[in-house]
Amino acid sequence: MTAPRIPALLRRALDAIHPDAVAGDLLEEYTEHVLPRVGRFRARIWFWKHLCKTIAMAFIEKVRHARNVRLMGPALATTRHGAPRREIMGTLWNDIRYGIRMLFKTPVLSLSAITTIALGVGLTTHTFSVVYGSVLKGLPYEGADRLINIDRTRPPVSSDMSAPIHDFVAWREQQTVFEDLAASRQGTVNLADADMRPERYDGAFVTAATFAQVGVQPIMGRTFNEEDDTGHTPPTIIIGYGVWQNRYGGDPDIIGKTVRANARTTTIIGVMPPDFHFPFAEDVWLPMGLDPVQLPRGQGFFVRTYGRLKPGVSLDEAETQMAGIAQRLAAEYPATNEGISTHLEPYTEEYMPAQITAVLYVMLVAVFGVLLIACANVSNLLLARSTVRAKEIAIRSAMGASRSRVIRQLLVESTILTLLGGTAGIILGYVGIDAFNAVFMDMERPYWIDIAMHPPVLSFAILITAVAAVVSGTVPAFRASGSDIHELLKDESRGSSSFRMGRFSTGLVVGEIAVSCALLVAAGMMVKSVVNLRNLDMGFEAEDVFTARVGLFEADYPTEDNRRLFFDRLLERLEALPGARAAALTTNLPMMGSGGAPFAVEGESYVVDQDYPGSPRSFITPNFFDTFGAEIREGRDFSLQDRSGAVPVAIVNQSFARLYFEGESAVGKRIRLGRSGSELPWLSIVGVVPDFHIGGNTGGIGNDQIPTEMIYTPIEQGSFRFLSIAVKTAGDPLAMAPQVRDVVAGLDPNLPIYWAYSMDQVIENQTWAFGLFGTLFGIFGAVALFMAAVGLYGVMAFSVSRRTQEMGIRMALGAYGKDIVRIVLKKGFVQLGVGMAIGLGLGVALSRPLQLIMFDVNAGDLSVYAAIVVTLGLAGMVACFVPARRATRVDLVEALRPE
Amino acid sequence: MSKRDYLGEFEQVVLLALMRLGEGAYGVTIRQEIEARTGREVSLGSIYPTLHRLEEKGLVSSYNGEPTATRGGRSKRHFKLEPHGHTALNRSRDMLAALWRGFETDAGSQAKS
Repeated sequence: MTAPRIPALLRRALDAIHPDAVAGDLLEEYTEHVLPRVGRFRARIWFWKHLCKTIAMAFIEKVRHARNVRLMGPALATTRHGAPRREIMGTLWNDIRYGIRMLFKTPVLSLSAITTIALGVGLTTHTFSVVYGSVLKGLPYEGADRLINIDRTRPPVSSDMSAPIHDFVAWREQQTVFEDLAASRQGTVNLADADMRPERYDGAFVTAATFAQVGVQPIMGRTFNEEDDTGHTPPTIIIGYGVWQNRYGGDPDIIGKTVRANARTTTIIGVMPPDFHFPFAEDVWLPMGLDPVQLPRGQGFFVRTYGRLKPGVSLDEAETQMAGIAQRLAAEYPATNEGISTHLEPYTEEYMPAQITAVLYVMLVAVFGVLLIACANVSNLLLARSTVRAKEIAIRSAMGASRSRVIRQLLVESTILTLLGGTAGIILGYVGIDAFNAVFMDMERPYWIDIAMHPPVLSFAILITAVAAVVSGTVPAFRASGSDIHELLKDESRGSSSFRMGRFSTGLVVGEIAVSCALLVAAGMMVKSVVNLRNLDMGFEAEDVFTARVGLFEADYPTEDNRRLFFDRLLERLEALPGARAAALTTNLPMMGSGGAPFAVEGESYVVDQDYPGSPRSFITPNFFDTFGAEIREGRDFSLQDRSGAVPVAIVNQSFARLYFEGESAVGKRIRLGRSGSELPWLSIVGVVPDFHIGGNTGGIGNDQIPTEMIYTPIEQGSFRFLSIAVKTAGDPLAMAPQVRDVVAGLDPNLPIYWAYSMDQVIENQTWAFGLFGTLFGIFGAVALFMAAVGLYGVMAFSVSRRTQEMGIRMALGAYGKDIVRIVLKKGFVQLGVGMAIGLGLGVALSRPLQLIMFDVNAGDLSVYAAIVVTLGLAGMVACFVPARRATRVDLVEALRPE
Repeated sequence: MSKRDYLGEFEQVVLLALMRLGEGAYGVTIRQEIEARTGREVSLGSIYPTLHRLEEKGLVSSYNGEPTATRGGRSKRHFKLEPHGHTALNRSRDMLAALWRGFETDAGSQAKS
């Protein structure tokens, strides 16, 4: 006898009732009662008829159940004894649907909450991407965090310096803590091929071990070997991926070809992978050659040294050993190594000064502040809403929903809001990163710094969104669910519930105001610093000046005379260019910083070397001051007669004259460069010029320790290989670039010009960081201000709406509108005042580490604090005043009508 | 008395059948009992959702019995009237009785005319 089978698909329809029991009952009746009575055929009909009917009824039951859920909310639809495990997902889905419905039911609230979270998450994600990309990510090679940079120091006075080649060789021989030590120095590499424009690249001269220590392989060819290190092999070069692609069109047979590199015929032996620009941002690599080691100590070049720690060796152990080696060298070579020690730190940190890292972390703290404000705002909004819904929630509890059930539903609602906000925030973060990179990409920076939505950044964004969901949702959920059911189910008297939310949200608003006030202080400082910078009197005219740089190599210009001849002719031709109003050459453009030199003033006596004063100095050609639109204040400009062999001369600026020749004329006085043993000639001062802003970032961005004095000497009386060109033009300075390039090519077809900028761009390149940080903090501050105002407004407006009846009674009893306004404002102002007081204190703490990136702004700048108090005060007053006004327009009849 | 404790007609029918069957009632016997007593054809499809609802309200309880061969190896689901169910039934009866009081004969005579 075969019993009919019930298809699995149909059985699923019975889920709402007891499917096994139903199926069993049907089979039992079929087998024991129906089949014996009516025969097989009709029994089958009976069976299917009943099965279909049952399924239909089960389906109706299912629909009925679902409708109850919809009508009464999920809390009601569950059984009194708690839902069985498998139903939890089902009710969660219901919670989600219900939450989405609530979203559309209160669109303004939902939109504010989502916007708030989006701004908070967006800013935090963006800032974290900057911190991650520049500080945390590091070099993208396996184990590269063990790559250590070794600097020379002279405690306690000097900061880190590169090491002379002799030290490097000694360190490398004596150390046992590193796998190996490698060294590099950076320089210009001019590449010239037949029928291709010569081009200048940032290059690195490296020892062979560099590639192994960094941990990178070429994609084609080989890297340097120990033989290349000797410097006696035929010249070789390794090119970067970009050079290979852009200059050589990705030529697959590039290995073994030759190119003129710095005027020497050189064989290309390797191509490095994309995104490899070690040690800083270089595109081509030449072997360093340890030839200079043959020179006596104290001569030869300086190099940057690095190596990977051996497994199991700590930085401290390495530091100890290197200090020991430095001590031995000091004993052995006191002339060059007296008092010299070493300083070790992870390679990437060497390029990311601790102060900048501190600034970045301050920024992170600042945006966390914004996020906190955002959470507080959402928390407040939800609290306000849950107060309105207090009755609904009480009914749910009365109908048997457990507290955890209600909490869960409220949490689901807040989570939906935060998730939407977080998603929008991550999109905002993308936009922000894009905008940041638009400014940042052109800036000179270590190559591994890459600001992007890296996977850890994205994970971070998701994490903070989750945290925001919990932080902003938990308190309202617990507060709302914990209300006294009896109290709320009684006929609600208006206003009763607003007191319940009162103290907590007041606290939130005070906190919000405090945090935003602190952020505004920081933002105010940054904005002021940008304004200072824009208004800076640089002492010269930057408009319509074209600048570029050109460098000569010994292979083509072996003697000083060769080079002098080249520069003389270059200047002549530049001055003759149509459209050039003036032209000059200089070692250092203004704003780019200048090297310093110790000197002696004639007639002064100095006891020890430390007593000699120092001043920045720069070499220039005649007409330098004309080119930059400055007038000689006293004396004369250099002329073509001030050549080598003529009376050595100098020009000083007004600061210098004031400092060293107070009350007298500097013209005619004499100074001599160098300290006690100097054999340099005395320089007669022939002119005094206005102060140019010297600039430079020798002491970090915004360092205001840069002296303002300056000594200028004629180029003709020195010897140089690299000089900057400055041409005052009649029109657009950059239009001058092709003509200048042609002039240089006319003198030497293999010589490129580089750093071709207008003087305005030069200034921008030197000061972009202020603008960037200023803009970022400006955004943080504006967002914080906006959020705090919205938060204050929300809470005030809500509390006014809950107190309608009270206001009505007051007015019915004779209160005037202004009395009502006063009552409302009082509450708001107290919050505002307390919040600002706390915030100003926080602001002081926050702005201290920012000092570094502030231009001429003091952390105690009272004008900034005053501006913040006024701004925040005004915004807060508006936020309070609008609801207060509304309170006076209460319709008495409406307000006093019983419910 | 809350609204939830009010019984529908079919709910009363099912509860009464359970009361009559006592211990060991399950789908088949409940269905047969109702059909035999009322002469009304009912399907399992209407009985089970009703039992489900009554169980939700706490008026009946259920437990699994032994599986048998004729049921394709599936267990019976036994249903049992709970004290709450008794109370609810009594209340429904009292309510109806109160409403009927004084109309017993009238109703009969009206039907005749």
